[in-house]
Amino acid sequence: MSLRARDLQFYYGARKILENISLTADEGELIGVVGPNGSGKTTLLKILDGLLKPKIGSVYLDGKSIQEMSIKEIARNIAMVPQDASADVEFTAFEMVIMGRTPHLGKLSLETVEDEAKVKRWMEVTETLHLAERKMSEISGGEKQRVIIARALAQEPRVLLLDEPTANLDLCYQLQIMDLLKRLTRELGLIVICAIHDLNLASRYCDRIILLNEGVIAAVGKPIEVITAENLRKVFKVDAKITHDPETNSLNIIPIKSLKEREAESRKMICILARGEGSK
Amino acid sequence: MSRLMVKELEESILKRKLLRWKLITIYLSMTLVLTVLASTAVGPIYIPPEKTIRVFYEALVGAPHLDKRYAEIILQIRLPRVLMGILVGAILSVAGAVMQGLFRNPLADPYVLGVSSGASFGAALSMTFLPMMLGVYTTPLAAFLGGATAIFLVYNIVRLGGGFRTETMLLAGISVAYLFSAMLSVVIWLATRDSHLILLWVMGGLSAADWVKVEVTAPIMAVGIALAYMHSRDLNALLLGEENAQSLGVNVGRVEKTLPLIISLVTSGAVAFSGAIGFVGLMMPHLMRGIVGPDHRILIPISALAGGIFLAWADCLARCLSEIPVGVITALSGVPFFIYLLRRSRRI
Repeated sequence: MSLRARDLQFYYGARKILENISLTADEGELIGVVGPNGSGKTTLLKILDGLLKPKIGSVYLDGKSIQEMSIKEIARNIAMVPQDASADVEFTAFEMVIMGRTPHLGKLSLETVEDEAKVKRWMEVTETLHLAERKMSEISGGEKQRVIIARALAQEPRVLLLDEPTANLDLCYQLQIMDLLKRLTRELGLIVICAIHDLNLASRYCDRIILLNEGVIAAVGKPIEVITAENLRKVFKVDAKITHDPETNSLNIIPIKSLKEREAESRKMICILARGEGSK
Repeated sequence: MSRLMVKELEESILKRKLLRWKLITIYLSMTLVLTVLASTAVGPIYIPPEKTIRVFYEALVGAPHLDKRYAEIILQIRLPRVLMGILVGAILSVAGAVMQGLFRNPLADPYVLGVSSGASFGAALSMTFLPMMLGVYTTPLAAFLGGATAIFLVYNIVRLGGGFRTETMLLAGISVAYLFSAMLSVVIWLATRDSHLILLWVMGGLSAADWVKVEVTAPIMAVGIALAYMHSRDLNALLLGEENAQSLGVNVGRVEKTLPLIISLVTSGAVAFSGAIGFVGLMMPHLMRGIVGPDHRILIPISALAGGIFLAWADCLARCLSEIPVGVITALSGVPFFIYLLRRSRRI
């Protein structure tokens, strides 16, 4: 099983958002999409889920273009955990998760006991079962996030897309979610593609990282190949020191100075020098 | 209840939910039957309940009526009117529930958002200028076209004008309602001959109900509610936003085109014969949501039941208050409710 995208281009009006994006994801891979704000991470995920149609190019699941699949068929294969899950509703957490069964059910068929069993299992895995009968509007942001992940898993997809799944979470849950994603890829062979802000977290967990910059892929490969001082300077405009921690097998990114700051400083320096000359 | 059943209920959230759904549906259905019996007994002429039951019994088994005068009043005058009230109430509540889901806003309702005005304009136009080309169906059809135009206008103004915020939605609804009210006034002004009749109808009333109208409205209600019910799972998903719904496999583009059509279809059935009765569609779904939560698979049927019960009793009151239009009573109870909703949180 594989997910492929070829030469994706996407425009918002006349503005180019994504250009020449090609990627391949194979069974059991955990792929991180990193890049500064506005680099096109969310747009890319939406295209992979079929929510947005690229101007050029297409997304292929096992060689079949998702544009030829029905919306329901896509939902049975690809699930999305959006950044804004609009989860502030009066549904209970259980009702929310069982909505993940929607693509597997007919218009009028009620959910069965098997559906309930599946839902409960995923709620257990995401540690949300104790919230089952609480309303979504009454639980915390981190709890909501885990409920939405449980909903996506209840879709029983083969590809799981997540947009900043750790953004609102406490440190402990960040690790827990990433551990869960890793397990899903290893044990169930899921393809997980995850937009993520935290470079430390990304480099620690992801098999591969796609670095986006202004709508194009700046680098792609193993974390150690992509998260380099040079790439960070080029894309994030920061000077950073990168060390490798053998204990967790992760990279440590220590930002030192933003390049803008350095520019400002050098301008100041020139200014002082110039004044100094003038006073002579 | 057997021990096994208790155990099952304890274990299964789904079964508990279904049981709750069944109980409330049975309870409201029984209330509806009682409403039919009790409200036919009420009116300017007092008919004792036992006589009412007797007349119903005779009609059901086909026996000759003992008291011809009572039978005449109950079966030919009051019963069609009560049934019409139930049909119209059910229709407006279902239209309200679907609109609130579609707009993701508890303030949506066919009256507030101008669908009733559009349907009224269509209906009035057909009454004055169009010959009854399609018999009794002419007015409902014209009302449907008017209502559909109105809801498509509102929906697209809201979509293009910055999304589903309460203010955008209400302003779009109000402006479209104004547009159609103005055109309705022109129709009334031009229709010198029947203008009084149209005015009376516009105010919203059930006094002209008869069996023919019941027979036209009943299938519209049945089809409309069935169609709405078929989309209840889609409506649930839509509450989470368009992209979330599509991620869950809902064909959002198609649903957002069909739901407005269903709304105008049912609303036309109500407006064609009873005018624009306001706020029923606002109140009933909201009250029911407070009891069962936002799941449309139970919300739609019980809103229909509750709307029927409510409008039947509101009309009863109207009948007793020297035949004021029932729209006046629903507005008197609905407007404070509307203000209350506007003040509290705006989510569904």
